[in-house]
Amino acid sequence: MTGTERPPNNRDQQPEEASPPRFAEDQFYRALAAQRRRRVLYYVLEEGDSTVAELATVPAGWEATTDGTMKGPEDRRELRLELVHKHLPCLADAGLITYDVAAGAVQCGSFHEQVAAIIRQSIRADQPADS
Amino acid sequence: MLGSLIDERRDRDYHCTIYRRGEPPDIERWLADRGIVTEARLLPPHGPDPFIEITVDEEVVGIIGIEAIEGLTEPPIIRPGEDNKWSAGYRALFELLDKTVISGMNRRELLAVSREIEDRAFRTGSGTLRASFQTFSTFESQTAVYRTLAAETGLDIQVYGVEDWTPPAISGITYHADDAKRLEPYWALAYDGGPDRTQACGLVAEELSDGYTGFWTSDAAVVEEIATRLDEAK
Repeated sequence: MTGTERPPNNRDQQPEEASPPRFAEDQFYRALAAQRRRRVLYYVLEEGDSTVAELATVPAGWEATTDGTMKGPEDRRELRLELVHKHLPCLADAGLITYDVAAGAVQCGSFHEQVAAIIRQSIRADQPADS
Repeated sequence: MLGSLIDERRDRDYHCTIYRRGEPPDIERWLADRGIVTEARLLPPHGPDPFIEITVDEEVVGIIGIEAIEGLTEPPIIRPGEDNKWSAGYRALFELLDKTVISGMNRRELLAVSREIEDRAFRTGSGTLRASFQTFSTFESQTAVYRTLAAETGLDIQVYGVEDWTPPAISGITYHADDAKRLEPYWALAYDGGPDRTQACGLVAEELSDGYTGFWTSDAAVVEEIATRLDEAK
């Protein structure tokens, strides 16, 4: 699943050259202002529908591989709480994901390809040597 | 007996998920060969390096990078106290697979885990270390290591086994001949941690037709059970 097929969203049905209206929203930039959130968003963008459990694991794995340590149950629990109370609501408010709290399910929101490009670039900027 | 310690842990709901983007890493195959079911999940192109998540009864036990534990499927056999660049990763694996029943292990793997236990005992320097290598003739290959352990620490060392060889008298080591051969199928170690129960660790494995099946643990209560059963069998 790639970022090219999305359910239509009137606000983003603009010609390629025009910037998505989202780029003028503070909420959008706030959503991208935390590394863990960018990583969660990137994962959902590239891998599709996910769960709270998996989205708590992915940033933990990301940090484990970056700092070379093992993340234990407490680390994971803390991350999961942060996800549920902070990151997912923030991403959902910015319309970047849809978050079904009861089901613990997360889907990628619908947004312009330029937005997807920014998300990917923010992750690439983080990596020391791009693959 | 020792066998029941293994049996009562077989049914734990143990799950490994390996997040990767290309070929399966060695550890995936290693786990599968040892009877541990793994699942693979794909990582995006610019995402994290491959990592593994282990859950037991649906609780996450640990998450670690594959690179940190790579190479440990062919563990080096170190001498207790020796500096080992794989130590941190190997200890992580030790912790991740705590009380997990692993099948098809070979002697080299048992030795590597045994070294981990002996190394902790060596570094702590006191307490009781119990070891059963099935027969005294198998212990023969470990004599040098155990001489060091006895000479350089205050450990109280108890060695069990079928007496098919006469071990040398070493101060600090007490031998228990297993005349009834009740311990013969089992390779087992138990270190009580001495003054620090958090250093307790143990291993119990049964020799079967396809290799050794057993588990290791840092759970002090379980280590005590291993120690008790070794004592009872003598």
